[in-house]
Amino acid sequence: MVKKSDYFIIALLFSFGVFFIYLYFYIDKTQEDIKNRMVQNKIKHMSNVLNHIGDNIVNANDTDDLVVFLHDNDSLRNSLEKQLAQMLSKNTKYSYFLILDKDKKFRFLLDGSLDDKARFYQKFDPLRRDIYLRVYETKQTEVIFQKDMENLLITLLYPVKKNNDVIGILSIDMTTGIRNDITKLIEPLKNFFVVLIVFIFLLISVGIIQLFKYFKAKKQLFNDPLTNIYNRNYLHEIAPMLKLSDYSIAMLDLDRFKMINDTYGHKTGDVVLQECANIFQKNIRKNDILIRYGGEEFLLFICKKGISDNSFEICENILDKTSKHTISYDDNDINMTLSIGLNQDLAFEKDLTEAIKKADSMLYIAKQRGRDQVVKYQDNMKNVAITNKKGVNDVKSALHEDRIICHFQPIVDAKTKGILKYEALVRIKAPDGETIYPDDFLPYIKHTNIHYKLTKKILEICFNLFSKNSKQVSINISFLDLLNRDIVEFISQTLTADKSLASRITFEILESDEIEDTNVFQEKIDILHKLGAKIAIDDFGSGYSNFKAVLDIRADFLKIDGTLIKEIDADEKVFQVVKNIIIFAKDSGMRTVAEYVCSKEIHDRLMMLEVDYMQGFYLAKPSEKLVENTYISEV
Amino acid sequence: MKFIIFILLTTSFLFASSSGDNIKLKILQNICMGIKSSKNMKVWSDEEVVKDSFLSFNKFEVVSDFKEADLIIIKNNFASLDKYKNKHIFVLDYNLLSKIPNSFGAFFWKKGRPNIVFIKSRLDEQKLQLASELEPYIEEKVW
Repeated sequence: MVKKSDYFIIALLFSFGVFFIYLYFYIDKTQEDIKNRMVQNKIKHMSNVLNHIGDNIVNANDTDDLVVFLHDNDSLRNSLEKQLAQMLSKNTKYSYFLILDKDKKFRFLLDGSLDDKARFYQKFDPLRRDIYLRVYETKQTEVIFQKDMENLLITLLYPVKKNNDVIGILSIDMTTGIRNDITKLIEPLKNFFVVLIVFIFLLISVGIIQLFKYFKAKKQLFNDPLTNIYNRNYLHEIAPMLKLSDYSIAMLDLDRFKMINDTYGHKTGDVVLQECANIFQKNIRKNDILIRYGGEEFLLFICKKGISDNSFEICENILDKTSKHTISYDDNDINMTLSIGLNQDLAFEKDLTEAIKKADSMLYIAKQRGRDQVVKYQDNMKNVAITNKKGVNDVKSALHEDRIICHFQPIVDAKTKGILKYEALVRIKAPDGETIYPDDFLPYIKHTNIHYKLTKKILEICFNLFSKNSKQVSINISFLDLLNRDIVEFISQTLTADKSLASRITFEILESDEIEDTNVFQEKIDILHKLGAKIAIDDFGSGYSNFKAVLDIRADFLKIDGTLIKEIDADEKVFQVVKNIIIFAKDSGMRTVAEYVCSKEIHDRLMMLEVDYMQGFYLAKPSEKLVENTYISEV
Repeated sequence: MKFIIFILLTTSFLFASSSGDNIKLKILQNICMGIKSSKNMKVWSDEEVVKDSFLSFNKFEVVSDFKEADLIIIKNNFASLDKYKNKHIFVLDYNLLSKIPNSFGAFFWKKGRPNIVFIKSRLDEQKLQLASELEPYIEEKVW
């Protein structure tokens, strides 16, 4: 992940780069400045010497005609030229004394130069003659910066004055050596900066390349390749930044998607997912966020910042557009419907997880109510038990990673001691191999979409196992599960196709389940009876024990609640209750099953009451494999 | 004066754009163009580049033998020149003006600057006339 500090480092490097480029060009300026300062120093120093030589020229001449005087005085001329020669150095090439004759021609009177020495009174055609003449006018020292002359950089023109009149010019030609020396001095520094700038820009380039790669990888990481919308990773990425009050959350789930996969194949399933995601995408706004949450589950964050909340209308529109769209693939025309759970009021949610959970609960209700509808959270608050997210996630992961298993506990015939059937008990195999028991996850997934997915999975496991043998099995199923069309359809299809299996299945229904609509319940039980399956009332005696309802559904077995059984040897009242339940069952044509038989004492008392079947640790523990013998039969 | 400015400007320009040889040749051509003559002059030089530079001028005919030449431009002295007093000799070294008595002028570099000198007595002696622009360079004698 690119952190803020990484951006800061790149920005810092960039700033350094710009700074060093500025510095590089500033060096040129500095170089010029150093050169000027050095030249000024040299000029100052030379002016002092020239002043001295000038004085010598003036003082030595006591005549009016300097030319004649110097012409006639070889030794003085040699002496003065020697003085001029002393000014020569590596960077000072020529030193000479010029005068302006009556024809306005400049002529050499003295030449201290070692090379290219001029003759006495030889004419000299200087470049920039105007400056030479100006020395005569202003009587001031002039400096010519030679730009176009090979090897010469500066010419210093120093006026030699007598009686405040300029009688000649002492001229010094300095070579480009000074500039070369300075350049040589500065060059390593410049090179250092060039290397530094190149290095910094290389670093910046690497940084930019990395940034580009990061954004590319990020896109891949956060996009679902099939539907080309965001995936769950994106949700984790944005979760800390999301302001919940700005959004409504909708959980979208394609109805009967598994059937599409099973009927038309996964390729068709993929096309359905792509087209549906496309419909969703087309019918949301720029600020809304669509995420593929699971297989056929989508999470939609509907933005309501600064606008009135029309998330319900958006969901209904999506629902409408999806149901009206026909997906054509491989000569098949498929019409999909959609169930949506909507949580609009996120301002008071503890966190995003809670908000999603509520939307998921609404989705569950939408599925229960017959699918192809939107259910809002506000309408159903009283019905929804808010579940533990960890439990939901654990079951989700277990379903996804195929870690749902069943243990089977024998139900033993009290008279023959033989195994009548097995009760399927759901377990989750934790990633570390540990077994997780239903008490640790079932309460948390109640009223969520996951619950019926889990039930379906258990049914799949049991149907698959028992279709391959001739044994009987009891499967726990809740009234709410029976309200789910998918589950009922799955049971119907499987048991209609395998009559033998149907006759060996007992559905154990909790007596304590909140059965709101007894007519619907009766209808569902009738379906199971018609399929040839048996019905058992589970945990009888734990709830309100609606005897009429039990008689109405014509249950085959009555499972006496374990909390009564485990007290049977210690509490006479409990003993009497159990005794009466058994009598009621026998009179009603139901066989009785006592669970929680965990000791010999309990076993013996139940034998006394002539219970039909027993189940418990005293007889056999639940096991992943179907045991053939109980502890009693082994004895 | 105009000519001097012209020469100096040319010099300055050429300094910026050409090599030392080219500058010398351009100035030399300008100087020779300033020598008045009724007929085309035959030119010879001991420097091949000088000869080549005169090939493109109508006023001058470049000859391969100095004996045939009217105008000799030389950088180095050679003894037999003394015999040819009727030749106009232009030198490329100030010192040659002393060594070759019939040399009438010189173009040379002094302290890194281009310098031109014509000797009046020799110009008169050889009946050579210069363009007015070159007159400021006329000297009474070789110093």
